[in-house]
Amino acid sequence: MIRLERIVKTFEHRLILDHIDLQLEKGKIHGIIGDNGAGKTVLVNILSGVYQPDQGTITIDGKPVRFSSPKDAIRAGIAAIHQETQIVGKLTVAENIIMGDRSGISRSTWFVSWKNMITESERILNQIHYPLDPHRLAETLNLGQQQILKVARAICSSPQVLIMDEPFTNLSEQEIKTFKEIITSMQSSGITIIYISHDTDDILRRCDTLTVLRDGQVIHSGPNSFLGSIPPIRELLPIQDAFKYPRVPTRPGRKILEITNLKTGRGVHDASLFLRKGEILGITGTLGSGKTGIIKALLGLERILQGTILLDGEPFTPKDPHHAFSHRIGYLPEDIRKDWLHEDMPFSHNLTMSNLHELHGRMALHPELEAEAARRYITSLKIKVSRLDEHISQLSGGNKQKVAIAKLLFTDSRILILDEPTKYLDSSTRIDVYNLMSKCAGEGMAIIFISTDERELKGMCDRILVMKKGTCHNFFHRKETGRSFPLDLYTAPGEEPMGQSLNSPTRGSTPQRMESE
Amino acid sequence: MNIQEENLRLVPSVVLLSVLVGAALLTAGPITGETVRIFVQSTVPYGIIAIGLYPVMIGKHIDLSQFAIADLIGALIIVGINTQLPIAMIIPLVLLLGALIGLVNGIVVARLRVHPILTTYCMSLIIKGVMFIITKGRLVYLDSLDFLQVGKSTILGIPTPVMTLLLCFAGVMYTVHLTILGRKIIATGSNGRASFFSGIRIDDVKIIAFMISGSCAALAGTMAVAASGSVATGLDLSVNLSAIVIVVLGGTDLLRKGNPLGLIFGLLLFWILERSLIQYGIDEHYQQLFKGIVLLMVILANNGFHQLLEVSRKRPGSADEQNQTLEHSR
Repeated sequence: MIRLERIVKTFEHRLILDHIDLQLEKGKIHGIIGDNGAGKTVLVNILSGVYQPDQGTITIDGKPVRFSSPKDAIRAGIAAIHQETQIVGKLTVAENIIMGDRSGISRSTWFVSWKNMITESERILNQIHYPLDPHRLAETLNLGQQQILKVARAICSSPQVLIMDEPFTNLSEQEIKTFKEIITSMQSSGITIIYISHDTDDILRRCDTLTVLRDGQVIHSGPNSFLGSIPPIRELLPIQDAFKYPRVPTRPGRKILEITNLKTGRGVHDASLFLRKGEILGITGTLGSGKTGIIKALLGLERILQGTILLDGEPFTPKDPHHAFSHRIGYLPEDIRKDWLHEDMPFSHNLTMSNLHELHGRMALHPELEAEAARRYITSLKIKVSRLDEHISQLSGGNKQKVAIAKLLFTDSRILILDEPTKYLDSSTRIDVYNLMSKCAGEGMAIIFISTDERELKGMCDRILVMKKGTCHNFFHRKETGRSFPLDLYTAPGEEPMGQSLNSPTRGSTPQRMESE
Repeated sequence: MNIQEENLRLVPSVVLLSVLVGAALLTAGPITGETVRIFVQSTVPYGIIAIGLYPVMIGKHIDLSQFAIADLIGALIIVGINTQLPIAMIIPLVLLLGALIGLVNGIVVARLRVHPILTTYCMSLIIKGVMFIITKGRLVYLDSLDFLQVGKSTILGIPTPVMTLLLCFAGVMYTVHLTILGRKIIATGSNGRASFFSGIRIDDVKIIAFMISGSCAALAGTMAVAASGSVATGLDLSVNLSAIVIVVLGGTDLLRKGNPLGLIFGLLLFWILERSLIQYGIDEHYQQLFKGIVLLMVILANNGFHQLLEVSRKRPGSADEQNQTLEHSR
């Protein structure tokens, strides 16, 4: 039994956890849910020794413990899979698994026994019934396999308690299924699982107990009552379905972008599409379907072998993101922490980064203009920052995404390309983002919305393009009368194999990396 | 508010600086204008090199070819003056040459993706080689000592070399902290990938940073000749490393972003340290030893102090009420 009593944690004078009391019984699955910024991740970090609480105590089986580092927590039998746990791409699967804890494989302090490392990692992978070649380089795994690798690393130290923070982000349906089986098998071997998510449906079905956090406080904690569909918890969870997709239909204007028979070096074989002002075009498809390939071509990251891009009727051959931005094509990358935000720079500097000319006075950058822009976006996007020069690294995930979007809007682009803009967001922040998209479309911007979430695509888009094996597989149009789209996106009629693909999703499904620096 | 915190990081440097200055004043007896002048003049090149290094280091790169550039430019100036070319023509030309060498450095680093340490070190070897060919391995002197008058002259009552240093400082700081280019340099150092996707041409930004460093090195070479009339001393890599130390002392390192005031403190600290060791009459053989130890201690103190600051910031209750929160009520 793990007990948390009166846990308090503040950052920068902001109260993140406000006297949290929690009891976690052994061998059960405990769910913790809440909005972005509710304090879920901080709670995990306290349990796993990354942060130390300002006040309060943690007791395990009645004995008070104090973790001054993650190592202490692991010694006490608590392992965590953090949202940000990194896989080291250039190391093998075995090395990634054994990384944290070498005690099981070697008696010597100084030397590594490679043979033991391989056998040990195979043993762990067998334990979760997920065979991976231990010699494989981690970077050749797809995201789902990498997620499982993180689990393997966490249980390497044979923990009593396993904490998983948002383990399902990025995974496909199939991978989520495998993952759930792993969780169930671990639970049956007596491991306590603490499971953090904002995907409410999922968690409600799985957990034995449920804790709901809001603004750093526990607002509900107890046995999972979802199975009986008892209303109170539903009410605590933020969203009513009807308000989820606040799309105000707009009448599309003239064609602003037209791509015909595009073929690029990698991924895209033959793609044609057009985009009109005031329209939201959804693009979806599995990994390797070429949906990001089109965008890479638009940003000049991928060589165009065939086909034309017309921008406002003029031929346009993009050279690099700078070139695209100067033609007012704005792109918001999927991984905003790596590809979009400057974590150690102030909020206001991040906001204005892509459109510095806006701030330029006669001689120098104008700090007043910058501050004014920052304040404007704080109000309109409800961004929670304590100072204009607060570093981005100190903001919560949802706020980072808002800053990212604000930065894109500040570029004053007429075409917005949003690559999975809601992936890491809780439902209330998602709605903020959808509202913004709707507003932008209403103002006449054209939006390309890349997503793999069928519901949000159907809720938000005017048209949806399904990509398959580098070609445009199917277009769906919103029905004139209703909000609904006619068909299931992924199992449309007329589906047939489109010939051999270079990117079969099973084999070469390494996430395609955008060209770096 | 952030700026103030950044400045607080310099407290250990400032304390050490004042101790050293105090001690130097107490022990050294009368300091004549002449000794100060000679001292300042001989250290101006270090300062200019460090200033040139600042944008490069903010971009998380390093330039080890500056000392060689300075040396080569010094030799070229002497050769130029000895062949009766007008100074007004020589100086712009050599500055241009410095920028050009920086351009090559930048292209190799940014476009060909060679590590900056390798690139600039090889560049320094190449430049030294060229210099040997020009001077045939002999020391070169100014035939007439007119150019030395530049070093002794004053502008608005300030010695010309010091004035050059100050202008250089102002120029670089203006560029880095107040212009679009500077913001882009900082951004590129902070997260190159994100900068690229934000529409910054990061290769160009890196190249320009190296060009600034190259031209500052050229200017440093010019000042060195104006001070001594020869390149007899032969600058070596240690000059460059000292410049790195100066920048780091000022609170900029390869991990954090820079602070304009810090550079000045770093420079002063370095000067005084160098000077006071001589003043105290410490044996020449031990000076290096002492310098190393003291510098390491200051850098450690800086870091430790920084961590102290972070801790006190995170502790609850130590709230300073002046923080106006823009946070929205929930």
